[in-house]
Amino acid sequence: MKKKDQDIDDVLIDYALGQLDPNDTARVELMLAERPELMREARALKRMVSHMGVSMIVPPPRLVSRTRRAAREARARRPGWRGVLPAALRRPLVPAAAGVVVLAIVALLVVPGLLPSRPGDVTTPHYTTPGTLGEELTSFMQSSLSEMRTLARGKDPGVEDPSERAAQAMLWQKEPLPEAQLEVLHDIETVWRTAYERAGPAGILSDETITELQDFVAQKRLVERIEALMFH
Amino acid sequence: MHPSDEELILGCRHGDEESFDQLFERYRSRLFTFIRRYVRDHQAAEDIFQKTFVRVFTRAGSFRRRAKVSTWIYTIAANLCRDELKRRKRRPTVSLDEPLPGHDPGHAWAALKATDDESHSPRAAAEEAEHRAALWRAVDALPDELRVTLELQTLHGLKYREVAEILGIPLGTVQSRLHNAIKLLRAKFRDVLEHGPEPGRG
Repeated sequence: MKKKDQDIDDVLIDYALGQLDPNDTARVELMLAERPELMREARALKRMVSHMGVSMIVPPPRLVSRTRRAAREARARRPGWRGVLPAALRRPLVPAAAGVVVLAIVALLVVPGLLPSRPGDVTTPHYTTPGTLGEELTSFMQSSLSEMRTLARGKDPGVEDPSERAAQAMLWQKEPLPEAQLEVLHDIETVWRTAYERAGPAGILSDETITELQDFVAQKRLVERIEALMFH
Repeated sequence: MHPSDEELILGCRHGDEESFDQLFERYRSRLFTFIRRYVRDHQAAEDIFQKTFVRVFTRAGSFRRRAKVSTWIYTIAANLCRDELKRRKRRPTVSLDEPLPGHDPGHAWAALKATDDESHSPRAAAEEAEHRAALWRAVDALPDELRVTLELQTLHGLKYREVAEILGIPLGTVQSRLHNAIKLLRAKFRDVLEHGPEPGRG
């Protein structure tokens, strides 16, 4: 098949799979109107694709009820962030899980605009309270490495999402830590310990504590140092 | 007014069971179909189905707004499916060069190329069902990576980018896998077509 024919064939396949944008679709349909042999081919491809749309396989009722129950039970059993953080705190800093939580908490605390003015508004970031932040961290700690890879992989170089940064940090930390990075981790640990020790019974940090932590982070240029380590 | 997927995930994040139930209803058949065809084992599919929804409810906090909820859910399921396939010995796939039992692909492709929807007779409906079955046998015979990619796209109407995200592969790989899959299916059908249908058919 000639290159041009191959290109046309590829376009027809994209067309049949519904992958062209409206403009390209219109262009292809104009071309097809003038080329009956291609029109037949395109129709056959479209029919073939449409024939693949089998009916859904319905999960059996016992599986449905079992899954609902399991999800509810798992949700109820799930430890809160206060249950997770102390265990992590007791570990040395080098283990990746501890490190990533620290990075995440710092990122969440210091990235501007993460504390929305309208709690609960679905259009704004959801880190409304340190409690929610704890949920985030808990989820993150429970993620498998493959899920973290999913988070970290394929994202834009200028990732804005702190958890994605943390995911990248997790991957980064699979390597042995050079001495210089330990200094950064020491400062991170200070932030984390302060946050944990000052958290109220519901895991809520006061505004004063958050401000104090943000000041500390700004003074130490911690975010810049973390980013330098993570992305350079 | 129905809540959006994003609103339901937000509810799940806060432990709202009603939100979870709605999300579950919305995705359960689609997801079970995807998982069942991915791992090709009913018991394993049931386990993965359950694990997926447990994770959806317990890890709603890890959902990133940048992605679509559907993509996120399928990604969880796809990761579990991949783990399952790694765990067990990879099944040998049927070569496309082997004859597919119980159907005549040449006849199927000829029918696809013929003027479509020309008849709604019972005979035409029966032939249509036969072509559909023939096609699915051919899809089943594709190498796993092509088959899973093709099914994910065609069954669920996803864009290349979404498929790439779910399967954790580059966008170009998705496109080439889908093109290869379509070309393999068509070549199989066309080859038989060019040599004429089997005696007594068509």
